[in-house]
Amino acid sequence: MSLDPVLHQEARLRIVALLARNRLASFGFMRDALDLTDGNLGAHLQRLEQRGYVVSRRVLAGVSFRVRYSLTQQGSNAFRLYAEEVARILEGARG
Amino acid sequence: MPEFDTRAAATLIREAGAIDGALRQRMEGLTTAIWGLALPAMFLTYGLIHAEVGHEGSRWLGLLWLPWGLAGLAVTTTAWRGARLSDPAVPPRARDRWMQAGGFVVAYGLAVWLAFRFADRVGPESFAMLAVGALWTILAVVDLRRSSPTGRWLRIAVGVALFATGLVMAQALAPDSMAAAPVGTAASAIAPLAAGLYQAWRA
Repeated sequence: MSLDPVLHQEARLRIVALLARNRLASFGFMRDALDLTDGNLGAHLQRLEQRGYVVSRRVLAGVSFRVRYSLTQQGSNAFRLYAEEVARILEGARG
Repeated sequence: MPEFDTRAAATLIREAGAIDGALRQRMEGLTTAIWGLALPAMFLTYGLIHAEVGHEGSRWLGLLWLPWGLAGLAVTTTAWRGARLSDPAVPPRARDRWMQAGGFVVAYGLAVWLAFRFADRVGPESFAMLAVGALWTILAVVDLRRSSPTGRWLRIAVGVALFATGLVMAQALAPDSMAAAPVGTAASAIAPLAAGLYQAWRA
């Protein structure tokens, strides 16, 4: 099995790992936590959304609705499979 | 830009926890502290029933801790969801979730069976303390939630302390002793509260 090319990219993997640990995250929180530019984060989120790994929705935060991102079930499964595959490859390399 | 290889990916997945590691540590600590409130509630209930009706039907009294256990589970699960944290960090497979649920059902079933066999011999409070201590220790050792190393060792220590208290209660106190409920209340509050607050404050 080969590594998922969408996840095998540093910024996207960091985004997915962050979303796996935090059920919902705002654009600003991810940008600051991962130290990415707006354009860079936006482009990677778009790619992940197109692939069906991430979904954005408007949730009530205080008195207004804000956009929050979360992993889809498909994204969650893909991340788990990716983590398992990475571990398997490294195990194999150790012999 | 440096090449992103498999080893770098593994390191990134492992270190991703550092982003919100402190929040997870605090949640683990608070989860343990919540049990420091739910467990004494069991023994307070024992004390009240003991004062009212004595130890009649003590086999059934041996089961009294089960609803409190389920209530604690519901509160701690809600707390994790409220903090928007997934638990564990890497989502488990559906098969593992079912195995976990099955493990709980088997453990509770075993506790019910043991309660009917032994609760009236050692006293319901001592039995409850032994059951809670054993269950807590097993869950901490198996560690399905992949806790932080600090949290895991603290939970193992709490489980062992509770089980040891149960053994001492079973040996030192008569099955109908009035002292069992206060001893159980104190021990089951002090151990988890101290461990949980220590971890939460230290994070």
